[in-house]
Amino acid sequence: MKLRRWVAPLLLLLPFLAGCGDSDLWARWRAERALWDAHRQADRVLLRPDGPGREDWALLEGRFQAALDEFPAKRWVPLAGNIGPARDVAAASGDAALVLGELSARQGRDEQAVERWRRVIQEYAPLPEVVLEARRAESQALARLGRHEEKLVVLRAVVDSTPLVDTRTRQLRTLVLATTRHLARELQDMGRGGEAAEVLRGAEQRFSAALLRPGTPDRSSLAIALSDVRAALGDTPGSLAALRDALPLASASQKSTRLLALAEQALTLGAPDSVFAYARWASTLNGSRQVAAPAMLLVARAFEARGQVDSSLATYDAISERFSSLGPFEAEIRYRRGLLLEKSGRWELARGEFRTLAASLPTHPLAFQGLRRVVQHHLDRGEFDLARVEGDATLRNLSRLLLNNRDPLVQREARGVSAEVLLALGRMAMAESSLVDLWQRFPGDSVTEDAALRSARIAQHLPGGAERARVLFDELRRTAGNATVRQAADAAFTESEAPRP
Amino acid sequence: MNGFEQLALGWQCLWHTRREILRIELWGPWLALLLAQALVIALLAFAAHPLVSWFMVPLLRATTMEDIVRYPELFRRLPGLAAEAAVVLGLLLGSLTVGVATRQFADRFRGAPAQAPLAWSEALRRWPALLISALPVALVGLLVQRLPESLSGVRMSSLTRNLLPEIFGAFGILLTALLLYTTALVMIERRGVLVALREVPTTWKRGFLAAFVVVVLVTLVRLPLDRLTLASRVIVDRGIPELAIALALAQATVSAFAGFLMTGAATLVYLTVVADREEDRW
Repeated sequence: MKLRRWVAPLLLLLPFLAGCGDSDLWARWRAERALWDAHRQADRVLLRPDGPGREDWALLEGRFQAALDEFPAKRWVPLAGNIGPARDVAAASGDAALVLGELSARQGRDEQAVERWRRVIQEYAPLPEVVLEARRAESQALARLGRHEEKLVVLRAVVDSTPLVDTRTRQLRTLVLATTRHLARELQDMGRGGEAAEVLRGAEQRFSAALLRPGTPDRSSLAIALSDVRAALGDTPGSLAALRDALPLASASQKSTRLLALAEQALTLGAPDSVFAYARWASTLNGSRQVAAPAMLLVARAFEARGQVDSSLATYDAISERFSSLGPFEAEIRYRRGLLLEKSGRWELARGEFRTLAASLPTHPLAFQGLRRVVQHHLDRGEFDLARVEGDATLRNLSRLLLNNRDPLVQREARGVSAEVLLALGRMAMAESSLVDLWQRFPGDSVTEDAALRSARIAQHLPGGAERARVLFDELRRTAGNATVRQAADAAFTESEAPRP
Repeated sequence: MNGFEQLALGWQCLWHTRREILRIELWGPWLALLLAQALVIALLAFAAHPLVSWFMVPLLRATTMEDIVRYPELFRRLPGLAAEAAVVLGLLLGSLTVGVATRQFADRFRGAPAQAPLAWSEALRRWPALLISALPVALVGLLVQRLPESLSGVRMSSLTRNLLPEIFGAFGILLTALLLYTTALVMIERRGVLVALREVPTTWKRGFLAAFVVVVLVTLVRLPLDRLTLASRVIVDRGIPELAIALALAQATVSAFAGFLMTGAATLVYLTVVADREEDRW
């Protein structure tokens, strides 16, 4: 009887207690689970060796669309004002919408992807992290479609309207900093220096204001970004001042790295005396190879900038003597020593450095540059026979490397240098096909796009190559991501289309 | 009894207890403990559900100091949280379980019928004593669970960081072996907690090595699953997150099985060598 007296009120209390829980929290759980399952499915499908088929794409779209339908923007975005589970549901819904765009892009339907991302930007406007990701993806799709003016508008929106600090995670949005630099460079390359300066000035104001605002996280990275912006505006003292101001913001362990950044910036801005001071300070704070070796490297480069070749060489020797293993710095030391020895007329020693570099670190990008330098040295001095002998030996070594090493980065570097050597040796037909082959193997890269442009220019002067050149110019002017290449290709295409007198 | 005899006895008692596994009546207290652990695991796994979130979310936030009721983060942490809950449950309910089981095993090994209601009522009467005697081992267990997290901000070599939990684990094994006969003293000899703790050192000469063998062998039974639990993050990230529930349940089941073996073997060693001498003394 006693028990029954307790059971009835408990049963009545149960629905009340069930209602006490946070329903948004449960919605967040279900949204995150739906998204996790869909992402796992996408991973499985996309990593299949034979690639996804039509049914797979439809299945993936169905999974993400189902998640989006269950947690629509219309219902959750208006609740996303405050930090809490409802905002997380809206973010998960935004993620599903972003992936739907990504799936379209992966199927080669960039137009549809752009439309989807534009809808995301509209529907998820109160969620800056979703909007930022949509704009980033949209700008890449627009570049692939050759709609470069629209891409610039999107990048401008990222720079101007995305808050620098993510209030949810209390972190700096480094993508906004990187986009600012990218946009300014792109505008500069397109010959729109005025607009580039306007972007940079706007960024300088925003970054400076954010640095003064209390509570801004990662002020150190922001100060470095401000320094870059000022350097791009030609304000050398301002750039160095921004870095100096960042020093007190860095923790003890970060300080030596920040000092190295200061020294590097001072070198770029042509202030070698400041390089000596900062590099010495960094070495005093941290004498390990990770800090002292790059500090000494910067000192050697500062001597070089002042024209003190022997002091620079002596510094490189000092680095080699101080550290038994040079690790990641070995390639740079050997390459720079080679260049200095060549400059000071000690060619045999210089060639020894380039050859040792190619033998000890054959896949390092500077090793390829060293090989290229050996051929170019003889060409510069008019020693064509020696250049041919060295060039043939280099081409043989590179073709062996291409057969043995399938690393895409090595393949790209080796093929690039092969084409350069062929060009230097005057073997134009082979150089032309090598350069265009490089671009076809590694598209969407500004260096290989430049190679393709050069290939088209060579083809123009080869027998029967005019049509090849015209097709290549046309494709580059439409699709190249590099603005300079695009403009040059456009000009060359227009010229090739013009009726000949 | 010399050391080698004690080592052999420890193994023999464990082997003998193995034969009792099929006796359903001895599993009663362990099934109750397992049921309680399963309930706790279910509460943890469904902490976001409105039916339980009103008390589970604040509880988890107070325990972990962060919002972990996210999918699949909760499942990454589930085996660790379940293990911590198991230590607390082991102290509150496990001490009672071991008390009931010790009484039942003692009756069984003496040839008397194992009377569950009597064992339960006696263990309930002596619950505070059982709880206090289980406290030191539970505290070390909790320390081992919390150690990696507590040391995350402390500067030390990676070798020390990796070895420290193992050292504390070994200390836990040693402490369990040292205090193994406390429950037998409380439940079989009907000693009070202070008297039982005072008498524990007198059992070491005759039964410590046997206790040590029992504890080490039972720990070896649990080890594979405990190690697997350490990789729960990888299991969640590369597999189905809900597998963490199965992993936690499997861990609770193996723990109950290990507890059954350890309690049975400890009772048998106690009755064989320790209690006999006690009677001789009288």
